[in-house]
Amino acid sequence: MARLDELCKLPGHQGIVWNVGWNQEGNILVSCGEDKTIRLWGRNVNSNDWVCRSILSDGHQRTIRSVSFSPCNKLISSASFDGTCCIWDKSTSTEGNQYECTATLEGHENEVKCVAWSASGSFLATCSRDKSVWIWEVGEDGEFECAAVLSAHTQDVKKVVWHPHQDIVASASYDNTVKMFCEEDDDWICFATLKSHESTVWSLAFDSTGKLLATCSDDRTIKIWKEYLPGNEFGVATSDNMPTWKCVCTLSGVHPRAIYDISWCHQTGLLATASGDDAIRIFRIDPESDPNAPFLEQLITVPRAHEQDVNSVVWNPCIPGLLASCSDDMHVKLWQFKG
Amino acid sequence: MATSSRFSSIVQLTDLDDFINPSQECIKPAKTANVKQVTSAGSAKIQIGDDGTYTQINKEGQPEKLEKAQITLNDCLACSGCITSAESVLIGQQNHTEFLKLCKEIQLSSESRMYDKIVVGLSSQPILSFANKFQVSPIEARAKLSALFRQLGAAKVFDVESFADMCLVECGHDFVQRFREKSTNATSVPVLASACPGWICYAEKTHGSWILPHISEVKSPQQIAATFIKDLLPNELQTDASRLAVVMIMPCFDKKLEASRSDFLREDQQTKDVDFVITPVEIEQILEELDVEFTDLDSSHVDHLSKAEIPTWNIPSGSGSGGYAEHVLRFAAKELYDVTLEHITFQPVKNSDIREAFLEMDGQQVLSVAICNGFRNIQNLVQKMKRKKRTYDYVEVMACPSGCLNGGAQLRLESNETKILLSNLEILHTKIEKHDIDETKADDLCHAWLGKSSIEERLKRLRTNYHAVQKSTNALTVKW
Repeated sequence: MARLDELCKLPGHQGIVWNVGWNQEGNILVSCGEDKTIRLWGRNVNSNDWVCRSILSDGHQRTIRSVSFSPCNKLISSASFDGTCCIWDKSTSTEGNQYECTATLEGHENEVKCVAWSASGSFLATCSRDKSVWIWEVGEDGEFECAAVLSAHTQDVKKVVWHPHQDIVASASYDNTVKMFCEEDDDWICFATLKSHESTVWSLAFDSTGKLLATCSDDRTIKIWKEYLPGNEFGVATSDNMPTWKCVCTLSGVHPRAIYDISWCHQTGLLATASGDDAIRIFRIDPESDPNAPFLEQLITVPRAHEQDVNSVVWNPCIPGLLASCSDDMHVKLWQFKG
Repeated sequence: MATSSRFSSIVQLTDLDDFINPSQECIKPAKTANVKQVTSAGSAKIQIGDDGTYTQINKEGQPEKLEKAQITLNDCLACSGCITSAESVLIGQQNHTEFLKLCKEIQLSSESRMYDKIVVGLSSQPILSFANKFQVSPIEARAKLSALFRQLGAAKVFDVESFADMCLVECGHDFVQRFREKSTNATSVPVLASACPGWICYAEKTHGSWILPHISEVKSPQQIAATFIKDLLPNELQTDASRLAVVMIMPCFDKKLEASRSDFLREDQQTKDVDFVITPVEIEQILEELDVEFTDLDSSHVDHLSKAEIPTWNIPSGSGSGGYAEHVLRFAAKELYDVTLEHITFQPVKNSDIREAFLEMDGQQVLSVAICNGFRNIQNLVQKMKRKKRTYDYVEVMACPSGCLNGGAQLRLESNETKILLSNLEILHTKIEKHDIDETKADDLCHAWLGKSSIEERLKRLRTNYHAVQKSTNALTVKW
């Protein structure tokens, strides 16, 4: 019988914890929240317990909504309701785990909701309540230049994620859609709009191949979308020589409240959701099911995973089954899946 | 097509929220002419009638009808809130239906009419847009548009480009003066062009006081042309400036925002220099309402400002947005270094919408100018300036990618291939006869207009001001 064991509960944040993320080696966890701080968590060398290794503050004036490590592990980016993104650099600092804010990306009109690095490390994407998605190009000199301002969404954009292998960014919005963008000539274009959710799309995650996308919504469903390339053997129509992303699975009736986050483990293929009913749930695609109509199998529900809304879940990139979560209850938690 | 898309994307981007209803969103207080002091709580009651009117019950128990708050477009511009709520107001004031109503009133000499005469200014980008869509030469498109407006009752039809030389000459002088002050005044360069109202709107609302000193104070050709027309034409047309409707044909809705600025009110503080801005998409609607095909329109001449004017149509050399950067570089090279530049090539930097050109002397860059189109490039320019990094001496800033040829209200083709459409427009633009700015001619025109004026008067005619807009933070409009 599959289990999700709570490994530890990490107190420290003085308010809602909004987002958690791992570094590429999977040995540092980063969290951020309402208290305008970023906390780095790692294992204590002697006891092996997870402890807070450092606190980054003085970068933002308001709530920090999102935080992530760069693919090179040297930089951390953070997005805040103060309308800016900060880039924190380790290399210029003397102490082991101390980071310094070396760049501030300004431009959004108001609250920045998410920031994400492309797999190649050459781009950063941000999104905001101002309805836009921005692509930033990382220059050799460490300068960040705006490469595109994409106004495809008609409402608040909640989340941006990059494709695991290509320079493609997907965004989720209050306008109930997901949009995908790629570079064409010297500009970025929206090449796909994924419509099916009936309310805000809160989050999204690619699988390890980048051919499947999972989305979660305020409409209390999870959807799986599959990429169909031009000329595919299944007769799915495409246009402009661009792939079509088609909804191939909708899971409803499982989450009684909004689903705020979804994470797709690139090692185990497991999916985890964070929900407004304080629960964490684990799913997987039934390997026996038709790839064009996959079946999502629910493995585990941890009913009171946190005392309040679970805001974010993220699988560790190196240790199979290690999951981090954070909540309105001011805590970060670590979990181990056992299958 | 949604109305909002006819604005430049930069103006759409400053649209904070169209989710909250206007009564919550708009923070503009209603003006009350007769303020009654309400001293005790509960002494005033407001009732909403079945017809939606608001009635106040005064202390004596008598109902008083309350005035509806009148919100003008300019109030909306002064607000840091949304452009969306401004749109409906704007459409009401400057749309093609109102314009057609005016034409009819003038044709019928209706007594209730607000204007006696109409003067039209045609800018080059809409002409090219019609030429491209209907596969006629730009000269023909211009003649047909002129015929259309004469048919609608225009007393005169001018090219806005006839006035553009005055604008460019003024831009050149303004730049040279500011370049000379470079060592003593930190905000003298870079000088940023002021012709694009979308960019001005963004600079005023988002960046405010630190950036405004960098923006050239020279009015746009639209506003210079209109001031000129309202100063000089009423005499000839035997009317008053306030009863002369100046109608500008422009490539985007942002120009309507510009025309509505209170900075462009005449001395009586009521008469606007530009009364209507009509765009290509609206001209198509006018044609539809008149049930006339564009290609079936007659041809008509375009009026000349002076006898000295060359009877052919030509436009300033340089970009499709008006050639600001090219003229400034050419003029400053001559004025500051006595170098005559023949052909100037702008080299793309990161993308085709950021292009630069330099004057080099003995291997040293002595002058640098750039054309910066579209929001992403404006962002990078502004952020570099903010971080006090070196940029350029002069930048022609336009909010739309590809500049004014790609204005938000230019005609779109059914195939919706924006890139092909744009390259066709650019080819058409390169084919029109160009001229280097003839300063003597512009000066003559300027002299005929402002010859006896004081320097202050001259500046008032040719220059304008910008104002930082305070951001309002209204908790009600915050959405997570």
